[in-house]
Amino acid sequence: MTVFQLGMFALIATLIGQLKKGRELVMLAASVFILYWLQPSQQFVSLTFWIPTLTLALTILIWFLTSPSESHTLRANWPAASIIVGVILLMDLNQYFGLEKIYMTATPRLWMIALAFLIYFILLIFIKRWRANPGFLLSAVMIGILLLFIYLKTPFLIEGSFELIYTLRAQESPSRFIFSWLGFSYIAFRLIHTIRDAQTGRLPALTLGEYVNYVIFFPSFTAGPIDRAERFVEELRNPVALTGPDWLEAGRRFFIGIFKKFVIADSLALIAISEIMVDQVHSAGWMWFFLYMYSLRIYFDFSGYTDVAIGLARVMGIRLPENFAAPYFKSNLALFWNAWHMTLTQWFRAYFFNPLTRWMRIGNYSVPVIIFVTQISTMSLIGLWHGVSWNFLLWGIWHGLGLFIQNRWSEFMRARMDVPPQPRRQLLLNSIGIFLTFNFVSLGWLFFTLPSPQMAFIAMTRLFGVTP
Amino acid sequence: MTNIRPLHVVIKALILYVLANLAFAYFDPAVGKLSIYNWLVPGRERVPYEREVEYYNISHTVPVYEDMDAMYQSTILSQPKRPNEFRVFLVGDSSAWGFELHPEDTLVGQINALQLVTCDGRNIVAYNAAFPLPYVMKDLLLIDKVLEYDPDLFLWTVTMDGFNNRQTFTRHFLDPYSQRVRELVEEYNIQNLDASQMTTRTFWERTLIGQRSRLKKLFLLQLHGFGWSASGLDYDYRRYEPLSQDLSDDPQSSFDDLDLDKMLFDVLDAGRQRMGDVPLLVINEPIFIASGRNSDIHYNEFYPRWAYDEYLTYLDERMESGQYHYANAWDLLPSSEFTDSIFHRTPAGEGMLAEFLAPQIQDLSCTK
Repeated sequence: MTVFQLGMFALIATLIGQLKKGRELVMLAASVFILYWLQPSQQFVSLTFWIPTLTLALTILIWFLTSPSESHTLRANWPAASIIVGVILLMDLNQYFGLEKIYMTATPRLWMIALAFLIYFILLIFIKRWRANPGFLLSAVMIGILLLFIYLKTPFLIEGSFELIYTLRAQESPSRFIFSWLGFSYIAFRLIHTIRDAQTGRLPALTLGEYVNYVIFFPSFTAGPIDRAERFVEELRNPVALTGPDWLEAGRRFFIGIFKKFVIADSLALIAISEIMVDQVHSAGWMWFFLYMYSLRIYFDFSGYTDVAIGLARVMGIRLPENFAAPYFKSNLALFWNAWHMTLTQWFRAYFFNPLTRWMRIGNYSVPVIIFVTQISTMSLIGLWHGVSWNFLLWGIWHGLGLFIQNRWSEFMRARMDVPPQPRRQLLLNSIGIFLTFNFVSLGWLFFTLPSPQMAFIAMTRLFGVTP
Repeated sequence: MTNIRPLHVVIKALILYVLANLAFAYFDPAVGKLSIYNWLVPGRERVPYEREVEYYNISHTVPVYEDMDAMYQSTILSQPKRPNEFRVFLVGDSSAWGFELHPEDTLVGQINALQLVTCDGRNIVAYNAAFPLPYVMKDLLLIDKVLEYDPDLFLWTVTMDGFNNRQTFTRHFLDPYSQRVRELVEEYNIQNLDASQMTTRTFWERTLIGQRSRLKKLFLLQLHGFGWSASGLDYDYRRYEPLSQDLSDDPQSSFDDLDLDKMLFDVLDAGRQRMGDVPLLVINEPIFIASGRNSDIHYNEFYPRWAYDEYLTYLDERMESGQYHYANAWDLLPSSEFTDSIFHRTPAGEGMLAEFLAPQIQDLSCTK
């Protein structure tokens, strides 16, 4: 996203925040519009239209499956449905408006959109009649989302599909494919969360407008935070009235976020460790310096976006959850993960770590085995969420192992320390803990940022003064 | 806290922002003088330059020719003069700067490798003040600037192409200094450069907003100092094809309507006057001389023989009548000592040129 786009978001959010009536619907229109507006260039131009349309179709389908039949009344949902369809048609009609600076003009023909709507509508009717077994349908859709997620995050699957398309068209395939499903990582989490909560009966009844607003809420749909539906909708229904200090706080968060991302993070990017740096720099001291700069860069980049999202949401009366809480000042790895991308770890804890732990406890596995398996598998999945590659898997395993070792060490020490240490000693221990945790996390970033595990290992050896 | 009015805060912030912009435009502070080079990280051995934006990160370089303070503050040239030092500043184009060469292999590096000393025992230390652009008016601006770094001798490498009175270069290099260019043109009576067409920075362009591009580059240059310090690389060394001895049937030529009287030779006179009592050695650069097909008509893909011969005669006469210290090295090097262009030399070629110049440098060092 550019500063200009974020500035436009701020303007839109401020206008929405001023509305006394119809805030939810205007917010929905803005989110749908921005979903299309932010789409990056694709290998096939038409995907720039169909990808956001599919995002909406999937979201509406899951709303349809997760909400009770009483919520499907035309009276409650026609305004939201009209807005969604209206914005989609407006975007498509840009082929006639020719507003290239806002959206592409090579949109599909109107008859194709009409046909797509018809097929989708028939699908919904079919599902409605077949809803005798909603549990099965929900599970099937969830598996479908997971498979789609794996597909989208696996480069060779994407490349293979494009190559197949080019082969079928008897065209020469390009050396590089450009494809991106904007925001899907976060959208998938929100969809899975609502499916699981619907299965366990915890999801409140939501209207179409509320549900789509939750899933594609424009301040947070590309980079989080990942809110919970019931909390989000509560504030959507009863937006917090803004006082003067609230406005200032929202503005402060927004501008601090912009500064973090576009001034600090983008500057640090020039001196953050990279493939080129590893190739050119041979001094261990400088390697550590560039590694630390990467650690700071990724923090300022990501937390900057979070600040922007929180600030934008705040002026619309929505309080998004915090995502970062001074993670590099935590004295152990568990505390770090409670302070880094907090909404992601909370999601994994709720929907993977805790159920797996419960299941293993029932199986009477020993505590160390439970901790080892749950930590490694959870962190590996978090790694793979960033992309299906050896690098992200190793990054996850690195943290999983770290969490396991730290847990065992804490248990070992707890058994031997019957009295808490003196304050001064505690301060020293905390400082050492912060130093070790920061360095452990920084070393882990090598797997995250360098293009191959081999290069990450080369960089690691250089950091310790060994030249392979 | 509850009494705070957001609108008032925004208005105050805007007023402060406008005031800061106006103050910056009015005082025009020399922010380029603020540099981490020669302090937090070592100074560069030549001014920052890179051809393509995408290579900035590779070569740890961001060119800031819009701010000569920043440009030279990032080099060792801006370090204080040592007591036992005789400073030789080299100005010129890309071949003087050292395309495709590591700093120690450039002409400056090779002169320093000779460890020359003056008659009174001072160390002769050469500094690279060149910027890769073949244009003598640009050289005059550089000379005008680097005089503040206390030179004892100037070496000015020139080539026929650099005397061309081309207007396109002015847009890039001269425009930020249009006021100074006008002053130099007027003060030294430079005939052929029409400075009246040059635009002057408006007040708006001098504000923080107007100067944002220069300020950003200046900031990025500081950041790249860390990469430079860590890697010692200030340039992306790319592979190149050796020059062919055979010339095409129709080599590129911008000399069809050659009129030496319309070229910028009087800039040399202006430069010498501007230098005051600092001696100057003008060097006519070596060029690649092909020996294959069509070489009887052209020296290389750039210069037709007839045009370059005319230029040689003209320059020789001008140097003689003007009593310049002059080193004509146009045919000094064999064609094997050129790299990717007819001007760019190999390390061995630079070594030969340095040895060729050494006696004159030493002689001139004894006059001051």
